[in-house]
Amino acid sequence: MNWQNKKKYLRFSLIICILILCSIEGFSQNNPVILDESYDKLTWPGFVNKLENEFPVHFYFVSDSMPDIKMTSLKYPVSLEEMLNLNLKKRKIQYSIIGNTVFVTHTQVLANKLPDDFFIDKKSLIQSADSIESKKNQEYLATTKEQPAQSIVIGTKGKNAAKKTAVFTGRITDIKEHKPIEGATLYFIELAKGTTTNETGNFSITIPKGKYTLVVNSIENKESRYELRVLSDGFAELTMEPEVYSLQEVVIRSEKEDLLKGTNTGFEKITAKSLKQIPAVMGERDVIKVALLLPGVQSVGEGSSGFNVRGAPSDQNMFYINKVPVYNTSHILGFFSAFNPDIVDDFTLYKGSIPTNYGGRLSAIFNINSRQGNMENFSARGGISPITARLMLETPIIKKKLSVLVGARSTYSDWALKMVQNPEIKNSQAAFVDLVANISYNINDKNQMNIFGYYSEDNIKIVDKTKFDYSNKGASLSYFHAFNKNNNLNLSLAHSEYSFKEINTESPINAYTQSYTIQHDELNLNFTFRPSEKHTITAGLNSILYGLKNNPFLPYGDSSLVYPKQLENEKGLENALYINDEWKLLPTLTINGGLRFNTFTNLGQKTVLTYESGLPISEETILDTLHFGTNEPTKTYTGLDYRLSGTYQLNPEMSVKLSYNRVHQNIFMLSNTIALSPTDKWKLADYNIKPMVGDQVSLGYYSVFSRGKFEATAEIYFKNVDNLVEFKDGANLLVNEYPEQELVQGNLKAYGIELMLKKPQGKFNGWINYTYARSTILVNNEITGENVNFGMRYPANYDKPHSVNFVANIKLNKRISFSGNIVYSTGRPITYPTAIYYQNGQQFLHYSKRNEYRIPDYFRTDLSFVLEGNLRKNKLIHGSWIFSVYNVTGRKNAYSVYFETTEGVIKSYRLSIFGAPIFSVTYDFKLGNYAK
Amino acid sequence: MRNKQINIFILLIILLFQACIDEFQPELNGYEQLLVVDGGVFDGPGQIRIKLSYSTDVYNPKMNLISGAFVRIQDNTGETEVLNEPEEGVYTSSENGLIGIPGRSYKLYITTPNGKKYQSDFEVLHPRISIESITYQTEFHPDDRYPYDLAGYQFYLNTQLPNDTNNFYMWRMVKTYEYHSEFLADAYFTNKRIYPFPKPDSMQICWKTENVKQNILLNTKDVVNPDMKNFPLNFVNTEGRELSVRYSQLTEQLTLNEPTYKHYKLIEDGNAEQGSLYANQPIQIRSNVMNVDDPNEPVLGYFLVAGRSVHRLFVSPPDVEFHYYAFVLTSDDYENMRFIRYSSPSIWPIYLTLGGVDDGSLAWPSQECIDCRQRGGTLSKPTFWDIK
Repeated sequence: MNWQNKKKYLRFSLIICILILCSIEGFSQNNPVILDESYDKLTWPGFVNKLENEFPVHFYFVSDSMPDIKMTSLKYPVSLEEMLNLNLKKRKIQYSIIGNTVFVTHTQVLANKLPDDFFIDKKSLIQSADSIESKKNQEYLATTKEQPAQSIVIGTKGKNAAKKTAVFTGRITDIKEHKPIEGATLYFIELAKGTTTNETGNFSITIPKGKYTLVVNSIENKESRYELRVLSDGFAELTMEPEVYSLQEVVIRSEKEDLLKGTNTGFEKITAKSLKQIPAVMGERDVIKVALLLPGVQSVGEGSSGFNVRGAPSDQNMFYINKVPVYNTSHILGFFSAFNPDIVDDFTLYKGSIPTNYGGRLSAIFNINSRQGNMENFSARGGISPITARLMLETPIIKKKLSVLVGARSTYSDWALKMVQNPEIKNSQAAFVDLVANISYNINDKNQMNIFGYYSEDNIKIVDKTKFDYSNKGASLSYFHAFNKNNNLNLSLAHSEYSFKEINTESPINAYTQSYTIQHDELNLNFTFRPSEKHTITAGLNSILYGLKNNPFLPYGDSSLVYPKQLENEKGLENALYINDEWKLLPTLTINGGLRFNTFTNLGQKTVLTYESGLPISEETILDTLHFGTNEPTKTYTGLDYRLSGTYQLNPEMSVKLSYNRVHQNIFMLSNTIALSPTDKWKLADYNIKPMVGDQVSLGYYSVFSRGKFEATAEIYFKNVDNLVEFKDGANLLVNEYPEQELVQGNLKAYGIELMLKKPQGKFNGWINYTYARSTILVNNEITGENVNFGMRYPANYDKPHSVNFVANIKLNKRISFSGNIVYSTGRPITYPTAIYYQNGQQFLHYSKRNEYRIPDYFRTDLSFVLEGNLRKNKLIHGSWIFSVYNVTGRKNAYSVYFETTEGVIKSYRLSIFGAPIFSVTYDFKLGNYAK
Repeated sequence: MRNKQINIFILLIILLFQACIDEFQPELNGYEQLLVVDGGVFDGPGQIRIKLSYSTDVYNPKMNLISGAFVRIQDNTGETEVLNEPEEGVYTSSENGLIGIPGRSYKLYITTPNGKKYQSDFEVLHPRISIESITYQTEFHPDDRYPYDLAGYQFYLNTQLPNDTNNFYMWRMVKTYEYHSEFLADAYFTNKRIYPFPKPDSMQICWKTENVKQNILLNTKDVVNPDMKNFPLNFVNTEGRELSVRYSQLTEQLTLNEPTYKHYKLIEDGNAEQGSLYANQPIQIRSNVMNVDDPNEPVLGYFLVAGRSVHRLFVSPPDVEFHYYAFVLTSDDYENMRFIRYSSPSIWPIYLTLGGVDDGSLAWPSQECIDCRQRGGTLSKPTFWDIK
């Protein structure tokens, strides 16, 4: 993170005060800043940005308190001081220039010396690992509870005495939750120099030995200040106090995530804080439900897991929680998400540019970070809703070093299902549980470790006819090592296992049981180098070992005539080496380019059939049978991924970005159902089925205006996917030992435009977005003659041209808030029966071409109301009530439209999953007061 | 609800969660009037029979036969015959005309009255396999719609299928049953007068023939042992009148070629239930008959060429309780007589019964319990009925 180019908006609660230690001679005398006509009639943010970009000048001001001014002067060139005098003084805005820093205050005249009571309200705890004075500090801390120490000593006298400079490293964390603070800025006033923290809250800076005033800022936290004595290289852990009475919704963005400066197109990040204000279904704030309110993300259907991102099938998305891949992200077949909302800290969605260190999925990466565990105190939170109960506990084991977090969530009854009028749901059972555990260990200033475990299980029975049991198990170990301030290493190992079992007794003759397990072992090794201010190079290795274990397909019960089958297991190894450079070519232009070399090897033990080329793959065209031993490669595919993106800042408030990706995907979900069904199976690319290749180009326009109050974005994308796997008409995968005989590979084309207007902050915040998107599939192999839909291009199941999402949050006061959202989208395509005919005295339905019709449009409004407990500072437990209504208008949104023949009469029906408003009440609680 | 101590939280819950199914008619258009081919060539005796019709609107199903078409069948040796139309929409070969011979292939040519030309592929006819026997036994099957297990006969097939290669079979069943109405027609009312009915028992016995709405398909690849013993066919329950007097079932065992099997398999899978949460993608299934000039025009039905053997079985009622509603006369039925003179002429004649009691008082019950034809049957006895 480059401090020089970073614009700062600082929120000063009382005044902006500045210390003494430097003389009030800055650039104005030594190195005067002279402005030309290009500075005329700029808005304040534009003026500041231009100046910061062109001169080594830094501004501090309270953005909210600045009136709308146009900076003007009658004559040019003009010095900065004159310009400020001309434009600010008449508005009674004070400013001071100290060093290369301009401090702008509204009413307060800047003191040139620290007021005696300055630090009274500041709380901060200091850990100085290598400090001879730390003991003294602690004594000081103990005696002056209200006035914690603000002076720290870094290093030891005499150590590295020959060197004039010292490397000051450290970590900034949240005082209560001990969560690392990303993107916090450290500023050494006397040096006019600073740095920012990385994703793990770490920073490192080389500075001359000496005495400094350090100002630490982060958007979500109160500013803290330190008097620093730097004696030699050293480490300090600095903590920050959250902005307790900040009512505003803030999303932390590091520069990489900055809307204007980051190079990623199609990037979305939502923090837990914003999750809190989304209406809940059945009392839970579901991560996935929030994602569905973002442009370009569509639900497969209510009550079904998975989502479609930018016109792509759901198997082209990957979910990670703390590096653990999760193959089934839903509970109860999609009614709940598989992630306990209490443990989710934030999630990031990449739907445009996919970072080079991710690969293997064409459409989107969904990365969920859990909370890290409180390093300071024991803490707990949880909630009870009509259907679920959840609890999360976190505690330090070694204060500031080692903490543990555990979370659990479960249904305690399936009584709610019994209330449903649909007999299919009424005569059913559903139960689930999920557990997480996280251990964070800060070994020392340069090494950190994290261990994470995840487990979820579902037991479902549908009308005594079908029984599903499925579970996710996963664990990860991540290790971070900083070589120095510029170079670091991330290593992670993850294991994940998804198991599925089905017993189907719908027809006693065909009753069967089947089960399978998919294992995913992943190694990630990532190096980050910053050889210069302008380049950030990441390079690494990513290996995944897939194992699909198929248990025998067996008859179930005495009357079943099912022929038992043992389907072969599958194994595959995916390796990728990658390198990426982010290059700040100009202050306004950043280019990001990467290459990722992929190999995928399908491994034995396996029996492979070969087929005559140029003919449809079927039993009749089998040429030969090949046998491969354990771990013997059956087929290897190689492919090169490209990542190229760039951002150009047109002016301080606008930028444009362009990106192009190519990604290869070696694992698919085979689905012939309209919605994602639990019986859908995963399949690896193999001897006969080629990996999918996807290309995406995105072009975006981004703007932040009205002093940061609004953000507007527009993105256009175009996608092409080759080797998309589709079923042949009427295929039955369930029992086929050679799935290639049931599959054909085709092409998917998708394009769209996404428009979004967001008000990220304020008592009233939210967003509205509109998406136009199309997605079509063509399966027509001209060589073999195999096709779907008679070789004509057809709309994909998830082709929903128009969609609008509106989200609004209103905070009336500290205790009461409302939020609401409105969701609209075109109905999904469907194949309808369109004619009746007779054969041998029986009546038959004739269907339209694939997806020729659409179900009715989808429209839903949700509301929720949060009532916080009292705001007393000293209390043991803070509780809040969440009242929510899902589908307020009770619109019967069609999940499906289907036809039934009863005694020769055809009737059509609409199936709605949530056919009425759903009210729910949840009680959430946590240890501590409102703010914590 | 909460004091300064940690307390147990009491939860207030209001939950209304409602999934629902309601009737909904989407607008559909453009698929009426598609050619439907029904029939084909079988080996063994019997005329070739092809029925032509047009498909109809989903919401108004009806049989829309095509009269006056030109229909010709040709085999791969060059033999050919133009079919006659002895009844509307039904085209047959002549008594000594073309017959199905195993090993030969057959092709259908159609020119509809509006001048469109259609033809099928050459469809190969595989030899028939004879049915060894069909057995049945009383069984009780669970059914969602009833609170008890349904009693009835389960039919089983025994046949020896050849073991050599993959073979494809289809079984179609036609049921014919005799049933009786509850009461004799002792009198009838017409033209505002009551007349005695000359033959009171003439409307009491009916026979009804229906296709079993379930074809059974088999690919011998899926069979462990081609010596099929007790292969389950259909189940006929006692909720209706099928088994009430005498029941006969004609079972047709068809040896199919592979494309034909695949077509019927697609129909079976494509017609699977669509209402469930995880329904399969339905598909458009087209015929083996195509428009010569426009191959993209969907044609429905199938020109079926197969080896065929048939087996007929007669069964007597099972020794279980029947659940169909057997009418008894109530006081209302006698009371109704007072209003008979106000009845609309459109429902005349109205049949009346003494209800088996010879006290001279007539009752006017629901007509289907006097006139058995009201339940869909016919009064003429099928020719095969007395064979066994």
